[in-house]
Amino acid sequence: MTSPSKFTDSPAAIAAALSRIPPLWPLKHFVAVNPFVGLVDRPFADAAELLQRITGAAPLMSAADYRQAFDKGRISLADLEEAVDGEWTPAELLKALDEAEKQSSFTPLATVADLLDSERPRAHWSAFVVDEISKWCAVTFDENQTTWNSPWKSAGLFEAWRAAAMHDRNPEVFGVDGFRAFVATLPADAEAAIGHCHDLLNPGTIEPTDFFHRQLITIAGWAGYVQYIVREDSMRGVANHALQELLAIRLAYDAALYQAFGHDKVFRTDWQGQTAAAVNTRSLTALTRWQFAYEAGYQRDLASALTQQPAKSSTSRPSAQAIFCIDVRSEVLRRHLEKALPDSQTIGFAGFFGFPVSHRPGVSSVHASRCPVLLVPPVETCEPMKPEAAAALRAERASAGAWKAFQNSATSCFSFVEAVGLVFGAVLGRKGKSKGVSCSRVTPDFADGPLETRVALAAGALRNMSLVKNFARLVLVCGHGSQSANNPYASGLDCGACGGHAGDVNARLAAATLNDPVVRAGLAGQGIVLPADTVFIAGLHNTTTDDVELFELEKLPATHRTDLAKLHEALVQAGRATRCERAPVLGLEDVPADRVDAAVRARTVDIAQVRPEWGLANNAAFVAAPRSRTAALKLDGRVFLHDYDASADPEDQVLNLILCAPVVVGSWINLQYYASRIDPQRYGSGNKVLHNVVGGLGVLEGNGGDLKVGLPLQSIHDGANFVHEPRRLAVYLEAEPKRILAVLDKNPEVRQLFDHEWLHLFSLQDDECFRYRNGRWMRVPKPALAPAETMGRGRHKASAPVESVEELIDESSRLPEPVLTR
Amino acid sequence: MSLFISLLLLAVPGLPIFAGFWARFSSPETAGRLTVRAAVGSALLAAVAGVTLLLQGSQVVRWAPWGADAALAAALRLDAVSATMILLISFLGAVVLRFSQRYLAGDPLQARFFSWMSFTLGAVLLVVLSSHLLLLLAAWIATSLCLHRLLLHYPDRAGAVFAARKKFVVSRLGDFCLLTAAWVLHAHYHTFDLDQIFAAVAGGNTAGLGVVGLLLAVCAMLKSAQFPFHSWLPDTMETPTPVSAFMHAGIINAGGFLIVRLSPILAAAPLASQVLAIGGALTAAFGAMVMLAQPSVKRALAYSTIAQMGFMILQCGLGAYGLALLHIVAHSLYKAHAFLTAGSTIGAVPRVALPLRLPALTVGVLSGGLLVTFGATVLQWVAPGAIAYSGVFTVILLFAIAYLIARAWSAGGGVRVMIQGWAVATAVTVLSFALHAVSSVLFGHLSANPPPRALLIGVGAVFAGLFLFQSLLWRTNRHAMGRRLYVHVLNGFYLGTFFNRLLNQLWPRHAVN
Repeated sequence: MTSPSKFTDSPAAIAAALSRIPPLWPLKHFVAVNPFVGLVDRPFADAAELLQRITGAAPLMSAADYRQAFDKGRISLADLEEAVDGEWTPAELLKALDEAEKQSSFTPLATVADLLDSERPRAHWSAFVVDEISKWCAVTFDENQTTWNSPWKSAGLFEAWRAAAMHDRNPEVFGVDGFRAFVATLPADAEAAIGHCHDLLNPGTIEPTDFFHRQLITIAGWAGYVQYIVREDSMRGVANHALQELLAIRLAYDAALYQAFGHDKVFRTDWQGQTAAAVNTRSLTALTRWQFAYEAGYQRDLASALTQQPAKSSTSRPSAQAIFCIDVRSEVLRRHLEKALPDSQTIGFAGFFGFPVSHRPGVSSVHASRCPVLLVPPVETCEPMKPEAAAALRAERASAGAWKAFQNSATSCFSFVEAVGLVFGAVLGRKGKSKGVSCSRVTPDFADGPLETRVALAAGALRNMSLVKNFARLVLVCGHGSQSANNPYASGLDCGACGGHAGDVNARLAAATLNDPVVRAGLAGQGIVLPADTVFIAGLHNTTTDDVELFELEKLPATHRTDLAKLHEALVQAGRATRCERAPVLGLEDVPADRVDAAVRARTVDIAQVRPEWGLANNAAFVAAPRSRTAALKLDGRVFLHDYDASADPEDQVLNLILCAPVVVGSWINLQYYASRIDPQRYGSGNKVLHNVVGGLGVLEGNGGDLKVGLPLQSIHDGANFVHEPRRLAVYLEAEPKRILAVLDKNPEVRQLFDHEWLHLFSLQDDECFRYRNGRWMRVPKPALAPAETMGRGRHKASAPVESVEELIDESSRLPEPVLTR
Repeated sequence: MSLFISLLLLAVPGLPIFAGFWARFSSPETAGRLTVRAAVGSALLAAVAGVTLLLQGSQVVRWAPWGADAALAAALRLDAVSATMILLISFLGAVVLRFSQRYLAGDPLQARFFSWMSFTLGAVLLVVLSSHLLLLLAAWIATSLCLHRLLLHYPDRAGAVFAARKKFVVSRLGDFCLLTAAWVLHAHYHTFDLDQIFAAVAGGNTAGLGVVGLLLAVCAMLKSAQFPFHSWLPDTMETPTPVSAFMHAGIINAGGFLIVRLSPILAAAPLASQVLAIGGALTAAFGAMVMLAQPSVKRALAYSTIAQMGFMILQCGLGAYGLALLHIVAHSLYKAHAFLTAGSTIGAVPRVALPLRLPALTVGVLSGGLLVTFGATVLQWVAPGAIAYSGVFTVILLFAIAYLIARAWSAGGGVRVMIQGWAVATAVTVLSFALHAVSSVLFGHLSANPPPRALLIGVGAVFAGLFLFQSLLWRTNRHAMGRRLYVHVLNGFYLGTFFNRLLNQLWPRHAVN
């Protein structure tokens, strides 16, 4: 090969390509992730261009979808006016939409496998290469799903692959001549192998970063899983080059194909002459404006609803307080609980309740993070167990393992089937039994956590949830978890703030710590005085059934029994009301009211139920404000609610925290849903009825292919329609615009999310609301009022002339969508 | 009474077929309700048929307007074999259809799915009831064609199309064997009626049975995914889970059923039986090994089915037709459950092969030997005939029990788990022998001459090898040869890839998309 080596630019190009890959969490603790997390340093429209160029599809709905939304009045002219960014008029946007609708599908950069497939009708190389890599990744990362593990599991990914591939005849049987010999010539070092393959492939004028990115995108699922492993390690200060190694493996297959087929002159010329197809950026930018318009109406309506509510909370002592996760599913239950228990107060805070712990359940030997994935848990906890109980649990596991081995071994599986098979007939005919949702048996224990740590955690938790005074006699700390059967995506319905686990461990830990008199003494020293008659209890909101399980009530002092009885009764009522409110979207609209409870509960044990609940589908906004702003509103479980009292936060510390943690987590969830909705095949995990759990960590769709990312189709689609509307998160903060701006200036990585339109930011001030846009604040128009006025540092551009489109559109048919009901 | 039986036997497959037509033109909800009710109805009627069988014994009903020898005739048969099979299949059909009501809710093609599922169910029921070769052949082909529609439930998935084609080719080869076998039989016996053929065979006329037996053996092995024609099965995961459940539980064992149904012919065709035995043993060992290395749950289940079908074919080849039928029933129920709960894999009990040391193995083998000898002695005393044809299977049971006890001993759960291991092993032994006794009572009339001793020893050796392999599995990765073996086993010895390449040459990719 005499090609000019690009090896010298390799390291930077490789690093840039790797950084574009979003992590993918394993299904045992699946959490939502922003699929564009590697691209947020560029504006949304630029990222769209990049993704279209490299993957073939921009992260937007199709032009036809926007057209339909416009025709149905879902996007109004006012929305378009708000979306145009100076360079456009609504008329131009409409015209651009016409053009975009006519565009045919876009051919992204090709790999060698892609190009061979496009030139040879009998070739199946793209799919074959993905299957091969998927096979090796699955056996290397397998988590105890396989009986016969790969001999190279403990080696690095590239080393393991190289050792195995030298014996693997599969590519040669399929027609890649000389594959094993080629693998033997590869350098043992992954980075060197990348350079070697890059030189061999010599992809002409294609930018190395884009070239590498394209290669990784063909195995986006496994790349995401590897990125997860790399991220976990690097957060703990451990260097991990596995993703680079995966790139080396992907390149090796392309290079092997090139070696086998490169003698074909036509093919070689086509390959080296390949240039990146140009994306029609104007059309793409227009679509991003349409997406903005698609989001604007709801945001204005919510702003107007919020501004009509009081921002001040009452100062009388509530009859009870209940702290819930900010999760959108809490909103419905909170609303009904407040109704069922007058004078009570509910509070929204991230569901780990400020206790980021690494928890070791039962007799397990591994810790799992129970905190938002942005944090490395500083504290370890375990489940204190009596030795006898631990021994019994170990014995139970051992015998289950032996039984499983009997069932699955090559020698005993036949006799197992003959002796035990008939029993499954009875199992098949029987209904499932509920195992409950909580996993912790007892209140967790800080292993040897020093008192200062516990006091600091407690103080931080209370301050950050703006709960430093006016404590009720009974305070419920209520985590949440989901219950479903036979559902690989079960953990995805659990609490994201607890790292994809149910929130019982954190809630019980928080309640126990806040009840601890020693901790309370420490808190008093920091100015937070808990009344002696305030008692915390822990609970768990089962989001499938909306039942709330309360823990360790026997420890509650007798003086609080009446308070508890009232709270318990109210929770039961609220649960029932919540179930009835949710029943229609669960397809239970025809079920009589007295049977809704049973019908909802039946879903939790039904092995055939692919939609046990809707999770966070249709989430659209994040409000950090006193509860009084939202208490009177029916928000339909679409809004993250975080309590925030700016007057108690003179230093903006809490505001800073809210913007850096819960808002970012909210945006990850939101963009996960957004992406899974706009492109279910690419950013979603496809059809649940084809799911095939692999390696105990993820799913394949059907027979093979890449590991699937994102949410299953059944999580966002009810069969007839999409249940989730793709909207980027609108964040409403009850804080002065200039204070918000000051916090953003301190956190450029958060600021870019808003500047680049990955999410929207609003400031609530008394009865006014301001939208943040490109460093400026603009007053959000109130209904039936004049267009937005300029405020703050920027100047509002003159609104675009609408006359030119008025002939095209019948204004009267475009009623704003009713999204909020009082 | 004959009219009652006729109507009963017609209604068992007729209900699902009728519901299938109706479902075609209904809303998904109606289609679901209809087909589930039809399947439940079939199951209830199958139970009635079972009672009738107990009261009145085996029966054959014929429709032969042009004489019993004419090609255009039909006969349905109610005996222990068909009664067992219709009860099993209609129950599974009802379970799987009920499951699909929620599992496929919202699927745009759900009504079509119910329709084809119901047709498939009806066709399989007809296969197991047929007592006439042409009817059997027609139902056999219909089953495969209906299943083909289900495999193409997502016709825009290239993988689904590919798998369906692969299966199509294998199925047509099988159909060809069965058709030829029927033709040869007709040439020799001048009838397609099974009873008449069996009567002639019992009377000593075994003309042409050598060829027919071989054709039937090959047909059964193609149908039941036997090595080396197995690779279509792991490819069919492109179909919704309930289809896999029904296919692995209700359809794929048709190969074994065919042999059991035509056992008088196979019993008189020793070469064919030996082919079955060798092919089955090979497939059982192959499937069981490959299964261990598969990282995805459905692929592992597919190789497990291949292994279990191998075991069933082995039982057929050794003339243990009753045990084969027992295996069909037990495996069907187990595998249907395994597929329908395949989503519960996350966080399940780890499967990795833990170290197994010599003391534990010794205890296992000794206890296994003791238990099995005891069981065999009791069985000999209770049902003297049963032991005759389950000798080698007793040895296989010994290895299984030995492995269970050895595992319990090295599980690290202390004395409690060791004792549990013995208790469970005893229960398994008792259950196994009890079921052997039951099958000998129910199906004892299906018998063959004992297979050659060398064959039995060979089979025993294969399973001894499997026991050794499994016991040493945790050490294989330490040796270069073991590591190489791992790569080949993971890839299923490349047979699937080989056939994929062959098939790609037949159909260009652009036709797929």
